[in-house]
Amino acid sequence: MKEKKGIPWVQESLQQRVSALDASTRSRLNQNRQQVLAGGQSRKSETSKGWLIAGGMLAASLLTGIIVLSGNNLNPTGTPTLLEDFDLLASNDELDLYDNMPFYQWLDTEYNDVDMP
Amino acid sequence: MKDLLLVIITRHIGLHRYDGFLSKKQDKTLNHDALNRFFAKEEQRAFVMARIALNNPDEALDVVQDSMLKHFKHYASYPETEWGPLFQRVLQNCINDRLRKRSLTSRFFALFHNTKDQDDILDTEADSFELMPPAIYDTDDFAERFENLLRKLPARQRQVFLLRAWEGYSIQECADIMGCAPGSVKAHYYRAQKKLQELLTDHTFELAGETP
Repeated sequence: MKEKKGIPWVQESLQQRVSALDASTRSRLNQNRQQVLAGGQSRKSETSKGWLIAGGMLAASLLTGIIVLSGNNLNPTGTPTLLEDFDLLASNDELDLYDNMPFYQWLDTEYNDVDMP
Repeated sequence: MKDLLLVIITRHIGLHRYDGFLSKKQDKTLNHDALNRFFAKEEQRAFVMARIALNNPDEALDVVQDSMLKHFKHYASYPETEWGPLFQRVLQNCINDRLRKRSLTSRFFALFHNTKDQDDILDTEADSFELMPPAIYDTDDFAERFENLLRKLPARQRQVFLLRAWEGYSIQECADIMGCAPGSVKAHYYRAQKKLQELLTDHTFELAGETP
């Protein structure tokens, strides 16, 4: 280890600034050190984790909201909603039925019209 | 190839120019007690150094903690005798990263912040120059004023001055810590001392109630 020199009066002045640190700052430095030695976790990374969890929860809430709203027929454009898509995937009907849906709807209308007294 | 990978990894974690230290043998035994003692010895000086550079106690606390964390993760297994310069390197890089982020933010929001001198590399040979002490320097009041005077130095000059004059590192050690050439360290140190001498002269006049 090399001998350290420096400028004595500068060292004295700055050492006074170190000695003048208040108890709160010393305490926080000590806490931070213990935190680092205990788990290698910084305050910043804990904060980041907190934000990640909060962000995830918010995204999940938004997704749930979108699904619920689309299930309430609030879609004025007539395009299939997300909930309808889920119904489609979950049903046991043949896909052919959905491909020719307009034809079957027409057939259904015609059939009902014929049966009506 | 191995060296290239090490440089990439160390750059990725926000540290720069490790070539001097990486080749050394590592002591694999982690010693928490020794680290605790080392951090306890260094943290207050490191805090004051960061506070001078950043002029913000909260940011200085964060920087010191980040530095301890990086040192703990990457250098705890190195020999204790090497911890001092390694910790200084990490600390200085953390401070520089903060200053750089602050500079980018302020540029983005078009706020005034002079960063001109941060990348100012000087190649001139520095003459031997001795910073003369003021008449009265052993008071708390002067120490506080001196801290404020140091903030008036450009970042690189302040960094060199603190490492040389306060921490007592050699030119070569400063160059290793700061990741620049010894010639640049000499030039920055010379400029820092000259500037401080001027400021201290003004300061003395100010204390005496006269105008320079």
